[in-house]
Amino acid sequence: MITLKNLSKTYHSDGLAVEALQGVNLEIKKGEFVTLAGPSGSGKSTLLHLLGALDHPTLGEIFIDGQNIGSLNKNKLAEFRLRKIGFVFQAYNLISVLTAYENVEYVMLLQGVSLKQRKKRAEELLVRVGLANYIHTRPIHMSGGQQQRVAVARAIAANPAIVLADEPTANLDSKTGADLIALFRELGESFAMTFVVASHDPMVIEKTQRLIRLKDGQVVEDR
Amino acid sequence: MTIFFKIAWRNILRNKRRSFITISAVSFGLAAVIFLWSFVDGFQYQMKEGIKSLITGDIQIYPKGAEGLYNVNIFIEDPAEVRKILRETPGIEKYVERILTSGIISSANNSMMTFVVGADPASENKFNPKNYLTAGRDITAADEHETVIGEPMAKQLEVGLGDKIVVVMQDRYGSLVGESFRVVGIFKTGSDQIDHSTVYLNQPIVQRMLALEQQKTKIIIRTHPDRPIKPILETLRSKLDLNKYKISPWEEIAPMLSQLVEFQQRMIFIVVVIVLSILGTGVLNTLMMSYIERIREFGLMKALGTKDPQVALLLFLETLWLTFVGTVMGAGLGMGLAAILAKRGIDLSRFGETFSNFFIGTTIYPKIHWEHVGLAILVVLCANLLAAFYPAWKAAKLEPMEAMRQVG
Repeated sequence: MITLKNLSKTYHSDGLAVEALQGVNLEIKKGEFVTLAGPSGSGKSTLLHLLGALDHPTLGEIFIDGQNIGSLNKNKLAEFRLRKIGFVFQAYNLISVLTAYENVEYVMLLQGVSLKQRKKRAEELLVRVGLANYIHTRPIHMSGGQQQRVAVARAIAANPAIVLADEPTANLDSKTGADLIALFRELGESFAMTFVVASHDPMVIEKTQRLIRLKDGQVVEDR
Repeated sequence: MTIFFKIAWRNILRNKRRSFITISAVSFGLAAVIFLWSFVDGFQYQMKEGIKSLITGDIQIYPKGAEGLYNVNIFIEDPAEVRKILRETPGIEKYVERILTSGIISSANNSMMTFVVGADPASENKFNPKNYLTAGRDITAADEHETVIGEPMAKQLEVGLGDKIVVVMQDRYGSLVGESFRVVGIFKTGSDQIDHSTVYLNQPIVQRMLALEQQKTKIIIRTHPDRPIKPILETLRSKLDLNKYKISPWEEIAPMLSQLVEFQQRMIFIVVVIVLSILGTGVLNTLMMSYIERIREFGLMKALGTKDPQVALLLFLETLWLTFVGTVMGAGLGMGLAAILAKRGIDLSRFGETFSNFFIGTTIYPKIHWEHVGLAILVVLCANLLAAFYPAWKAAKLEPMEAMRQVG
């Protein structure tokens, strides 16, 4: 369902070209739980952002469900992200002025889901991620782990095909991090979603279904 | 849409102090503008009412060829014909017939040029019930050789109540005629022109002195306040013989004041636009700070699938909230102040000399014109929305990843 063909990304900074990804070819099947591992600067975040249509490749193509996302204009890319992708970022994941419920509801609102369905799904998911007592709490009154859980609920709420998570455990203690990954696995199985997680956290690597290790912008291990 | 309203409102509350300062600036600016405009409107209303009730009316009918103020040889020969048409024309509230001429007024000590108004006391009182007398009484229908004159004229002639003056005029055949009159009343209208140089006599004696019968110099009309003058003017022009009569609105008779009104309105509008545009820059500053603080959040929203116009909309909605709250407070404050002072009046007697040619007296009563309040609100809204364009455009054009990388 995800196919990357000869994917390259070069950044230019102060006149220097930095090759973040070099000719990556990959296939990720529907429902897989994939971890992109590698040291800082290996290209895992870049790959995640390209998969999430947040950035454009310098070379190569990305096909998601058969659609070449490189051919989409800015507006269609936003629509693509809205319909197909759920994001969990490392930090600053939530809209700070909205409550946990409203953050989860937000993407569904953009999708035009009815109030009744939004309410049911947002509350169910917040209960599912263990935040039954924080439904109407704003992010500022929640811990980092709780905020990540809200982000997970939001990522799932829109029924995306793929959930992309960038270093989701980086700001969490080990127990909370482990709980979060367990939650990912559980939700992935329940909703048949593909999870692609960029992380160099050994705990995440240990619990993953498929590990893709990157180094200097190239895939060096895929198991 | 509701979610964007919610986010916008909560972002206003996110930095309460900054929002309070911005809203206060919008409020005070708008309040000042509304009050200033109501003051000017009050000033102009009094000025127009003053000149209309004392001199011009809303519309005047006078004989063709008598465009100069007082032409002793040209009269409305058949006022009854005009009266009949006036009674049949809707929108006319009241009218008064005057005989106007010029002459010389003399006391035992001094002489001076004067305008003579041959008035019918009953009609005049009905036409303008305001009492301008500062001493004595008004002339009545029973009076013949009694007169009322202005305070400055009495001072110049060195006469008081009960003293005699002599008025000399030229009759319609060119002969000089004169009569003596006893001063029974002294008035002060606040208009230099009237108070310094106008003498009021009973109409029958003026007719007799000028060798007139039923003739009148002018018929001065007040229209109903809620009826526009133009259609009434057109009706009169269609019904009266324009070879015999000239029918003019007050603006033609007093073009200086009419142009002053227009000039003041344009000036005040320019002031409104300048003041409210300056407030717009305050709003721009607030929105830019808000935008810079939230670049990462805009990036997140865009990453989640929020489209460019929706991000821009969010900043426009924040502007609308700031403007809405500021407008409600500002309009309330401005109109409240104007309403209080409309009852109490603003005493400007120390500037009495300046105002003495404007028929307004020395106390100004602000007057709220809803269309001007609406226009001021529209200007503040446009200025603020215009100010929101730049930050809204910047936010809409953000690339999600670049935005999310920028801070933190």
